[in-house]
Amino acid sequence: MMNADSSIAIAHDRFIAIAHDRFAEAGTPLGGVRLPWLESLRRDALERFRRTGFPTTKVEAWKFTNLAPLARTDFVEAIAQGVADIATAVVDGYRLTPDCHLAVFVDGRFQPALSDLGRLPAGTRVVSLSQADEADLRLVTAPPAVDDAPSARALVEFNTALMQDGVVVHLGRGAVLDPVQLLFLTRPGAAPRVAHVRNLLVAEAGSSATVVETHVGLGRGVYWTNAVTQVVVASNAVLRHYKLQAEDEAAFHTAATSVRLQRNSAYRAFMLSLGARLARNELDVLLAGENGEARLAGATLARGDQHLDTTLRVEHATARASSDQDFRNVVDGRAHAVFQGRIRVAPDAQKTDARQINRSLLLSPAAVADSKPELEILADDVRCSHGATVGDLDKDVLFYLRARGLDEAEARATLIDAFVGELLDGIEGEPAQAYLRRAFADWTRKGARP
Amino acid sequence: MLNIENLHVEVEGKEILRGVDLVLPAGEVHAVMGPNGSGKSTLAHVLAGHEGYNVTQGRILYRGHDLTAMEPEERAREGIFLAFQYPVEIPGVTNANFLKSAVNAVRKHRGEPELDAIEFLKLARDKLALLRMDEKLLSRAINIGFSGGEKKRNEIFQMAMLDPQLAVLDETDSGLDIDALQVVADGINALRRPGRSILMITHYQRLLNYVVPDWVHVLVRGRIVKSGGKELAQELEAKGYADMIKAAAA
Amino acid sequence: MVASPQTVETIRALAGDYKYGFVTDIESELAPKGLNEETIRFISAKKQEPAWLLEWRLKAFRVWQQHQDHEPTWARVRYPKIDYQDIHYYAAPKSKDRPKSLDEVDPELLETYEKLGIPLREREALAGVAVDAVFDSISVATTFKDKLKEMGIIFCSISEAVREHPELVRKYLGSVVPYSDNFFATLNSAVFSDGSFVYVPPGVRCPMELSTYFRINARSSGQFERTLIIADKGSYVSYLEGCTAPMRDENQLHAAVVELVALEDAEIRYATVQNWYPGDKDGKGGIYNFVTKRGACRGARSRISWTQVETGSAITWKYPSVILQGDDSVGQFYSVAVTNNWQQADTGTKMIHIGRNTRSTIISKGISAGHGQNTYRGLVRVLPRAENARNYSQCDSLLIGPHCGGHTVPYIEVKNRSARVEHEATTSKIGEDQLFYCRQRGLSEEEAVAMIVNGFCREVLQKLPMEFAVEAQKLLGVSLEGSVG
Repeated sequence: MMNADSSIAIAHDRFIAIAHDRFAEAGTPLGGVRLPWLESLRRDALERFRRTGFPTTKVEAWKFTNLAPLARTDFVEAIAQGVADIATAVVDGYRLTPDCHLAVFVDGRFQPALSDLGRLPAGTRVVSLSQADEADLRLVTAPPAVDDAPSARALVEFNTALMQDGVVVHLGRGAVLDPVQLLFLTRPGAAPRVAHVRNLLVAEAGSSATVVETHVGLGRGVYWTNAVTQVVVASNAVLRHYKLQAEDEAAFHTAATSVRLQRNSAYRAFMLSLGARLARNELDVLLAGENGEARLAGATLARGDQHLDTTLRVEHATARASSDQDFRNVVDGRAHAVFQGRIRVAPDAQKTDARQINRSLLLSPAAVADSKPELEILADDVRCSHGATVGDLDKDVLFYLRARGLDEAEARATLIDAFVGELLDGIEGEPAQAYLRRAFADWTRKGARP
Repeated sequence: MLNIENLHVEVEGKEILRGVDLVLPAGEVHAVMGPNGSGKSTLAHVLAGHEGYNVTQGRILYRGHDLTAMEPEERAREGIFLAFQYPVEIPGVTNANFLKSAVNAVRKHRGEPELDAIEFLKLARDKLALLRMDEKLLSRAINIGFSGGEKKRNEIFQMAMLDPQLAVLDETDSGLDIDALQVVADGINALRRPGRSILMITHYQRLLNYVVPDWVHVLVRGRIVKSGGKELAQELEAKGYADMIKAAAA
Repeated sequence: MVASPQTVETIRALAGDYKYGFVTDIESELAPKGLNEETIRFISAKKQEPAWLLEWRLKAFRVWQQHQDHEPTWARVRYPKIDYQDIHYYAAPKSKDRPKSLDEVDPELLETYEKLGIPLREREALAGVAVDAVFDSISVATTFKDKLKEMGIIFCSISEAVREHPELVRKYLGSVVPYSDNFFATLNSAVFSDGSFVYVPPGVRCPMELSTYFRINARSSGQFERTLIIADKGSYVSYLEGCTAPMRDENQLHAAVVELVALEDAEIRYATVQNWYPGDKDGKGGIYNFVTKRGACRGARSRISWTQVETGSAITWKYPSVILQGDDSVGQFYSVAVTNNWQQADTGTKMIHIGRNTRSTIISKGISAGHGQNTYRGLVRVLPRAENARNYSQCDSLLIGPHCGGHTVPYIEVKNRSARVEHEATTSKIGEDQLFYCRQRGLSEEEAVAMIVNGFCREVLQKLPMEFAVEAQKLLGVSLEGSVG
């Protein structure tokens, strides 16, 4: 433990040095314009990151996930300027539907030529962060949706200091955008690269959208995607946000999504996490208005030596909001799945209805699952519950299936299909559901390989 | 026994009972019938003193005293029993433990000595025998894992134990199959006695085939629109409430 | 729906109802305030300890010194910084020698225990419960010793055990909770003054409940008792622990350590009714209860169960745990924790599954009222060798009134796929409909609350020995009387 921590400290100094070089060179403008407030925001963020350093496993929120392998890696920045040399056919292979609205990023940079944003409906805007106007950019100053120790937030600070590009999705009042895909492709290079991606999703009152976010690695190699997404769902708006994390198995993926829900709004998220050597998906949801509804679900599929972490914090700040979390892990090989989920009900957030369930299937002798479901309840008139289970497939059910003629492999596959499929059924919108089903099927097929 | 005068009751600001007049003499069994939403359950709850029901006008005289300002437990100790339409589940608390406390609270109020465990058990066994119910009922947690019929039977058993002057039975027949209905009705009949008044609140007439009332009141839109002998119930069964609803709306 | 005004009033009226709050007027011998090597040498000399034990204490003290600025902060409890130099680490009722029989015990002390409802004499004569009474830091009386001795059972104060059975103490002391274990356990290892010791020889079933009553009396003193229970192969023992303290405006520190060792086929049941002074209605005074309790199921098929009813203390910080080393061993944790007024509790358990076919059960009931904050914190860890490990956890919180909090923080770490681990938790309040139902049957609001809360805790209370169960039920009623609307 001592060794890991000290190596993080050394790595941390190196990261700081690189960041200072960046500031010295260009002041890290966005969109080629220097914004004094943004520069000072970045400097402050860097200062906070300098103070806390990379989170170690001594930080409660990072107890189960050790960033030492990431911190030990020498990353160079993925400043791939100009047009990426990627065939449209490659992009099409990951596209949600042939005619969906599409924003493509390669190595963290927006690619207009590969994107398809020419037919956006009225009242909607999808632009790259580097082309965003100052008003859009202001959202990056929003405080985190849910409180945690500064040391737990270090990667977000680091992102703020160094963010280069990302996407702004803006839905005007009553606008409908269904669906739009944000496709992040990374080509592993000779040296490990890092991309600090920043996305801003704003759904104004009464709007409705489906946003599908895909992260894919093109080829084998070490790289790091550090994404931060800030989301605001205004009153009576509905945002469906589905994410497929299918990075290369040598990559690092860290992502923090921070969602603020106003009165009568709904946020429905699904996260399918199956790529990366080490991934951490954080999702923070603040129910800031009455009758807000957050429905969060996800499946983590881990095998080999993968370490995949899902960390949720749901905060009920007002009365009469509801939240539901259903997260499942399938863990094979020597992989390690982590689930942390916190429900916090603030004083006076009466009539809160909050549920959480985490189920883990361990498929191999060396697989590991850690689960920390957490309730923090400060109002009395609430209905809150959580549950967690860890174990192998039910032997009785396996036997039943085999008694009906399936061999063991088929029987196991059937049960795993059902375990994940049940969750996929809950995804709204046929294209998104079919897309994630395909990703799950691909994962299953790969596993069946000898 | 019970004298309700021009009773107006609001629930969450909405007027549900709009001037109910009803007289229930000692020892009689009356039925209050009415369509859904007529205010039947409100009448039951307001008699028991539920806080959510606001008396805005009129009064309820019980053995000559106005009930309106009394706490629910005072009414219970004074001999008013409500058999709940939806009996409440209380995990971990056995019927025996619960009823011993309840019976002793009532006895203490009446100035009678409290029962010790042995006396209580004897009383409980006697009542169970009278109602032909299983002794296992005593050791089960209150209404936990009970079928609909068991819950209603448990209400009747509690009534027997608490020995009330006035029993209000709120939809005691709802959700019962014919066998369970028979058992519950037998229980009620076993508990009929001079000096005890029973108010049966029901939507359907079928319970009244087994427990024959002395008098029947029809409650529509918060008022008693008609009262009569037991044949009134049969008339309602045949014709339904439609005519009376129409008349009340006019 | 929130608590009605009457309810809140009743809760207020309740504060100050702590009936164990009297002070016994008895001369005590105190170590000077403060903690340094001298203090430790003083304690050790007072107790005429062998060199190895002094050395062990000093090792602990040195570790503690290194970490003295690192009190654990991960628990959900808030309290002002404790000045460890402002505490007497040794307080003993003044008397020449340890009494040989009850007749030699100071009558004031006997009276104190009478008032607490623990008539030592009577128990010796009638009750069939062997009692070790610890007053401040010193064991004042152990009853039934002779009868137990005939069966080879050792039940005495730990100081006596150090003198009479050094080989056992030396072998097991610190073997479950090492002196470097955690901040408070380390402090205890350095300064522990007394506590109980039990050894049950192979194949012996202890015929009576063994029981210790802990009492803090002296002002500005801490209590640091140390309990060690060893159940040898195939033996059985059931042990009860009760705690009270006077009402004082200051906070007093209680940092105990309990170690249990169960060898092959042995079973230990350990029950606690903790009713230290909780502080007044404004949160003034009360005991800081920072306790380390851990049992090791060393042998195959051994069993350890912890049952606790925690109604007292301003702060409760304790996690009675079981290390399931032996194959087929079983660990159980049954807990009721009540926090009212400004009490804070952060309590739970750790079940560490090491052996094959090990099983654990966790049932936790947290009740919060007033401004009380109640946290369940528990760890279930299944290590790679623990084939077919099973755990079931159920953690329920009941909230009474709008200003309290109930929190659940389970940690589940599974490294073996044949394990089955299930955790469930709920948070709710007492239903309005339940209260109305009870009141319609003639119960007052207070009676209804007490009844519903006792029902809520039933699974746990059932695990207590009969005599304690009744006491615990009453205690729950008193702690919460009328706290709902």
